[in-house]
Amino acid sequence: MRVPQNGEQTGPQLEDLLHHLSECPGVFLETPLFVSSASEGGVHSLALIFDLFLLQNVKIPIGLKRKLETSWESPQLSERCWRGWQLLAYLFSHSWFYEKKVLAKGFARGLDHMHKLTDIVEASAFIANPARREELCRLALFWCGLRPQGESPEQAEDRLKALDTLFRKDIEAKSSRNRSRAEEIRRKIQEARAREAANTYARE
Amino acid sequence: MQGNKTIRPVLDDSERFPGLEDLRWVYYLRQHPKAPLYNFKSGDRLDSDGVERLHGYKRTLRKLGGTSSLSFIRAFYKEARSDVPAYRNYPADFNDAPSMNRDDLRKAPWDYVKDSASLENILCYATSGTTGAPLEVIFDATCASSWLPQVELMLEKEGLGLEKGAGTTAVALICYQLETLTYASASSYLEGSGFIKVNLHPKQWRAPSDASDYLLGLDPGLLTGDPLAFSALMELEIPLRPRAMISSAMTLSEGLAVKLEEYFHCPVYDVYSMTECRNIAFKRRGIMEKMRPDLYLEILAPGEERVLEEGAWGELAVSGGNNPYLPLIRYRTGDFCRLRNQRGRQFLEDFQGRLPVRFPLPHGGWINTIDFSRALAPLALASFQIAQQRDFSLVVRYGGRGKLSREIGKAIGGVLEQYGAEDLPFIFGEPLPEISGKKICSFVTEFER
Repeated sequence: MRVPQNGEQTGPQLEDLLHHLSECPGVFLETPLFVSSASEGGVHSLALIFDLFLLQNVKIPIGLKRKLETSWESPQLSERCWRGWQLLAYLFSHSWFYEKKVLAKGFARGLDHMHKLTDIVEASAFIANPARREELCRLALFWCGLRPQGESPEQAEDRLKALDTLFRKDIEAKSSRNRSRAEEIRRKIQEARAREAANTYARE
Repeated sequence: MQGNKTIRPVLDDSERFPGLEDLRWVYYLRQHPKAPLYNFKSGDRLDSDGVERLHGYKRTLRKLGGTSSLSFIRAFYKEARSDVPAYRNYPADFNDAPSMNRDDLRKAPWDYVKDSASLENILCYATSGTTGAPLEVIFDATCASSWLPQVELMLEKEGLGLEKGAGTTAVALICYQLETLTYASASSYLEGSGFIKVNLHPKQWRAPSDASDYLLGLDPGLLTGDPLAFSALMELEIPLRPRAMISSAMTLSEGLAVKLEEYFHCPVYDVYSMTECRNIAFKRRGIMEKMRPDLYLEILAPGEERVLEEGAWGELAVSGGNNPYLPLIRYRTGDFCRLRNQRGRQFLEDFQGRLPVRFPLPHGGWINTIDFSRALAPLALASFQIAQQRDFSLVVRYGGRGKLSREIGKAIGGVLEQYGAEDLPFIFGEPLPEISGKKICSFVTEFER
């Protein structure tokens, strides 16, 4: 599990962020334009993200800009992933992030995390499901090196750990690997026992 | 070979000795006209890589000998936390690590196997249960032979070493009991030198003088065995001249150690070891010292998660070892002592280990209690105790589920019969308490030991 960073600062009230996310307009969950035909409409995800940085008066780092542009041109990324990124653009449009430099860092880290997370969770669930909503708000703060106002680093870490879908999946995968390894060892022990028994009987 | 439907093909000699090309010396040891009636075949299973790993292990021991035990255990602990499922959630600092005991191992031995450990060719060894409920320990061929470099380093301190090469017999493991597996083998690590396990019991030899002739002819460099077997060896008056003797499995009294040294004209080491990690310490001239730098010893408060200060008497806990199938972290041994550190060496004082127990018989002679352990082993009792009363009778107690009195009675009756003591009465006492993690003395007698 991730250890809280030294110098981690306090962010906005969690409730504010939760409320903001719950009011996400439908446009942010629309199909990215690159997969839909012009007649069906949709949203230009890249424009949405660039608009966020303009709105918050934060300069988008060159590396991040290039990454987004390359991703947009690449057919590798799923529609689910882009929807997740669109949602991030909305979440970080909260007024607290206005002119906050941590926004760039947090957004960049969020892209990678959401890429994996949207394989498991649909973007819409982060609005509709209260637990997923809290997970995304806490993650957004964590990516920025922030914690919710009024929480100690330990409280923030504990609560995030309890909600973190990828962390839970990782634990489940590990414990499943452990289970199959334990099964294999059990089988090998039985084989070894049988071998010893065979040796014991084979008194020559 | 006895008929058994579950039997699998046994190993052949090339599998027993993958590291030895020429096995003529092994055949000689087996087929010697005065050889005992060997009832088993065994090999070290070491290939050339395994031999190299053992040499590497010896180099590691030497290197660790010159470093602080604290830095060793910190590195060991860090690796164990990342590689062993059972330790994965342990606190980051070794000082905060909880202790473990044999019950933990019995419940889930697989949790203590390193993720990085290969599961090919693992070996399994079940303890006899002489000092508690039987326990199954997993290891591999390299671990099985790692006692050799450990012993070499111990002997080096007195300018001694182990024999090497075909034509020599490095080790003779001496037993004296009704029945045990016996074999003639060789060590690839010792370049083909012989390793024999013999049982001095007269039933195991063709003629009464054979034991003496065979052993004197082979002139083994190191004798290993328990105090009862060494007593028997002296009683048989076989004037061997080994370079050293190692007594283990039970505590060797200082009186007997002196007698053995006088009789065999060689240093006698009393080695304290456990199946879980093999050699821990050795006693020489009344001084007991930690044997290996890859073990970290501590004294814990009995029944409490508290490490005691140097010099305090409490339960010995062992961390470390070289078994990838069982790296130990604060493993409670069930044995008690004090620890003293002196110039980078660690000494065990007031050690209370297992004293040898034999049951005297009313008409002379005695029973080696290991024969009871062996007879009861197939019943896999959680724990048992046989206590001999002043009138020679035996009180048998056992723990665990199931009504096994009949089977236990049959096993004990069988041993008594073999010793010609079928009339010796035995009764069942109160059941033993549920598993507590502590060793229960399996054999006690009201007669002097």
